[in-house]
Amino acid sequence: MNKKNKARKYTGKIIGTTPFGGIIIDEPNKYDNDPFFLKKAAEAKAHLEKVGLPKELMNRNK
Amino acid sequence: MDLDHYQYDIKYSFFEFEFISVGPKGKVRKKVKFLKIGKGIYNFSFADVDEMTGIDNDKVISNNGDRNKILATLANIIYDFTETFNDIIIYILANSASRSRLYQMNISKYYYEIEKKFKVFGYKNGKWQHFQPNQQYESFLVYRKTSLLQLIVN
Repeated sequence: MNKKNKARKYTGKIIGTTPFGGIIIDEPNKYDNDPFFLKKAAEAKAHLEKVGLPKELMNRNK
Repeated sequence: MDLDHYQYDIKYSFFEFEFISVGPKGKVRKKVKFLKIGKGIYNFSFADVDEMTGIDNDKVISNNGDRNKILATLANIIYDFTETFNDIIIYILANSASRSRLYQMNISKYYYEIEKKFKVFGYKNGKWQHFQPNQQYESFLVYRKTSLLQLIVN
């Protein structure tokens, strides 16, 4: 871990890293009820319901 | 893909990711959230956080001179997410035609690498098609190809 990361303040404990550059923090989700993300998910869901899934994925998702 | 990217924090659930963009305009906090929108389907949302107001914004163009680094970080986040939940389909609905074009251009640029691990669909003119570079799509579906090793293990 480089100096820049050591300087970062985390409220949770670092419990791991990933091969792609992620630091896993022992913290619960903060944004499950975030209005912004809920709105985005609702828009995406409405769009997906309108357009449906590709045939290939319909079978995969049964 | 080994592109220059930001280090990012991951909540242990692996559904929330955050990183800081650093550039001439200062530091901009970015957050990514995967929220379930269907059976095995998660929406990918990405926003800047205004530190003064705490309000999320996905319309702002931060012009912090690090667009490619941000896109590489988002790609790595998708790699990490699908490494953990390899059976999940990710739905990406861009908030504007220009953002969609940006995603399309970058998927096209690295498609040779991406298609080794992922299947990508694009929605265009009322139908889904397998992603083709240099086509403009309204939205995208991405999922991890099942590896031979997984098939053997399962």
